[in-house]
Amino acid sequence: MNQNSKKMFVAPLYSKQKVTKSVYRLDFYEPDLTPLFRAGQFVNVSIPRCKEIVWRRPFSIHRVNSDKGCFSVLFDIVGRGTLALKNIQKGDKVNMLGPLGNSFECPDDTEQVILIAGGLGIAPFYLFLQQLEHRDIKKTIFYGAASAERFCCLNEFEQLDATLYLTTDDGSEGESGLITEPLWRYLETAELKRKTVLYTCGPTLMLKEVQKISKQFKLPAFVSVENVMACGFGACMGCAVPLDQPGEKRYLLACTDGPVFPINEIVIDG
Amino acid sequence: MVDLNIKIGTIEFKNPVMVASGTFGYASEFCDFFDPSVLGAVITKTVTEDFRPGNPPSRIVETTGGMLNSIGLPNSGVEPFIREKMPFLRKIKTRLIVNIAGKTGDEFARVVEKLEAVDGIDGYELNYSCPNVKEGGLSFSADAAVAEKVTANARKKTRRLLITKLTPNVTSIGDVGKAVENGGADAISAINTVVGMAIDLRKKKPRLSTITGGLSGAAIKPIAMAKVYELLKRTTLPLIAIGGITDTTDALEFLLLGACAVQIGTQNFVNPAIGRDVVEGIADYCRENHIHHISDFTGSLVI
Ligand SMILES: Cc1cc2nc3c(=O)[nH]c(=O)nc-3n(C[C@H](O)[C@H](O)[C@H](O)COP(=O)(O)OP(=O)(O)OC[C@H]3O[C@@H](n4cnc5c(N)ncnc54)[C@H](O)[C@@H]3O)c2cc1C
Ligand SMILES: Cc1cc2nc3c(=O)[nH]c(=O)nc-3n(C[C@H](O)[C@H](O)[C@H](O)COP(=O)(O)O)c2cc1C
Ligand code: FES
Repeated sequence: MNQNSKKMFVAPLYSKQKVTKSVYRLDFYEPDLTPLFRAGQFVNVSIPRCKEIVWRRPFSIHRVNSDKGCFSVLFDIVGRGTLALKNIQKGDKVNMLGPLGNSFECPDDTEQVILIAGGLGIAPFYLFLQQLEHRDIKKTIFYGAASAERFCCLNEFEQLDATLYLTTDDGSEGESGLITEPLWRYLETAELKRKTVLYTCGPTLMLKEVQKISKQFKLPAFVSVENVMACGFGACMGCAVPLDQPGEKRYLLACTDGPVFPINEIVIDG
Repeated sequence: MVDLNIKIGTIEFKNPVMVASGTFGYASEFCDFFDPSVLGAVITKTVTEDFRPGNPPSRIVETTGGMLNSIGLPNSGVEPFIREKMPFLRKIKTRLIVNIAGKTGDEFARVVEKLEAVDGIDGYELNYSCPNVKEGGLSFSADAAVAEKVTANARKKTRRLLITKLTPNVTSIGDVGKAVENGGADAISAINTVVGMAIDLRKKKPRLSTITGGLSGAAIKPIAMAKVYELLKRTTLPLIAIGGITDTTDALEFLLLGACAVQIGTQNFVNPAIGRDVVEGIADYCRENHIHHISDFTGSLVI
């Protein structure tokens, strides 16, 4: 269980930004909860004015600005819910549950973090880097996207002192191909700090590769999963994540046991 | 003052609003949102004799106005339930109904027997209906004679309130209702989910790992209403209406039809405080319409 208790709250939209062709950033004003949000946690958002949509939609907390009392979500338009969310206007009040789920933990003796993101899997890593800003840790990001114009927040990651490695599916920026390719090479050749931890979020194929890499290089790794969710707070048991263990099948819940798991403890499906 | 008290069998409930099995966890999941003590009753997730892991993913699909599930009754088994869940459940200041399922009629009776020794439980709801469980569930309702026998067996084990929860996925829910009345049930709750299916065109695959699952939510309200209506005609037992209740109006409609109480299911996922909202909504409605006691309203439908 996470340390903060969850709430149902209504937050006004403070600002909306188009980040790429189909990705939007929404900043919500919620001064009470914003300082409590931890990287990896999410909010479950009720889509306004959309009667035909039944469930809320979960989004990672992307960044916080405690001075302004705002937090942000970053999302891609993939269906009806996200399409409707894009149309909300400044001042619109949005009902949410949060903070939900556990968070990325970075042990005190960590010397280097490597963040591996595909597409919108990048969303929670901005807040993670914000939280690591004043710690003496080497930060490296491996970030893959479909094409050059789909990357989000590249400059800002550099401002947070992170070294970026990029790939695109079509070769329009960085190497073409899977982001795990340069990661394999990096781990084989670079001088790693002694206490290095991997964190990953994104498409299943990539997560499976990171699972292999973590085993191969014996590096601890954490994954943030994005299961479909009906409730987001442990009531429906719909978001089952299979534990990787011999014998009878056992499941954890993505929304309350996760969304962050040690990558070698679970089965990554798909 | 509006009096929302109701009585089912010999048990009094502070109001007719309950939360449906499998949609309210073991209540602790909701305590950050509201105090479940305001509800008429809490009904637990189904408890079985032994541990069940539940079905493999994917277990849930959103559909138009509802959802499909094939959760598969995951639970820790009755002994761990008593050890781990009862201490918290007992503290909630309202009625507690434990929902039970079994692979065989004997398992139902054995689970009841084990729970009889535990204090803080006001009654049982026998889940005859979950369409997800391959080895059981469906069959208890499919045959009225079996439904009667299983109820009678459980009845022998307990004097606590005994509710039988029926599935709509049968030829005649009225026949099954009549049978469980003969078997000695104190009340009937209906309906459980409606069998349904969804397909992913892009992957050319069923969306649920179990291929078919149970439909719930607003989409099934008209079905639930017709089934409750049929049961009201066929049995004299108190009826607890379930199916597609998303707000106060939905709940009032079922009471108007003649249900003595309602259970809210899927909407708990969407608005975790819906139980509290409906309790308050019903009280407001009664106040505005000068209804002093909810029983003056129940069953006042004009046909
Ligand atoms: C903990 C968590 C954090 C998330 N964080 C973010 C985030 O920060 N930014 C972001 O853009 N998205 C995030 N997602 C995914 C996001 O919730 C889905 O994209 C969104 O629910 C889709 O809603 P929709 O109505 O637009 O799509 P729908 O109409 O529901 O679906 C459109 C398509 O997307 C697929 N889809 C739907 N939900 C998911 C899902 N959860 N995972 C994978 N595919 C899905 C469907 O199968 C379908 O093919 C997160 C999910 C979880 C569980
Ligand atoms: C995710 C989910 C899990 C459920 N689990 C159970 C269960 O364990 N036992 C049971 O008797 N009914 C279970 N049900 C059925 C509900 O209790 C209820 O009968 C049904 O969902 C119809 O009500 P609704 O339309 O308000 O959801 C479940 C329903 C859902 C959606
Ligand atoms: S989404 Fe309901 S239990 Fe996880």
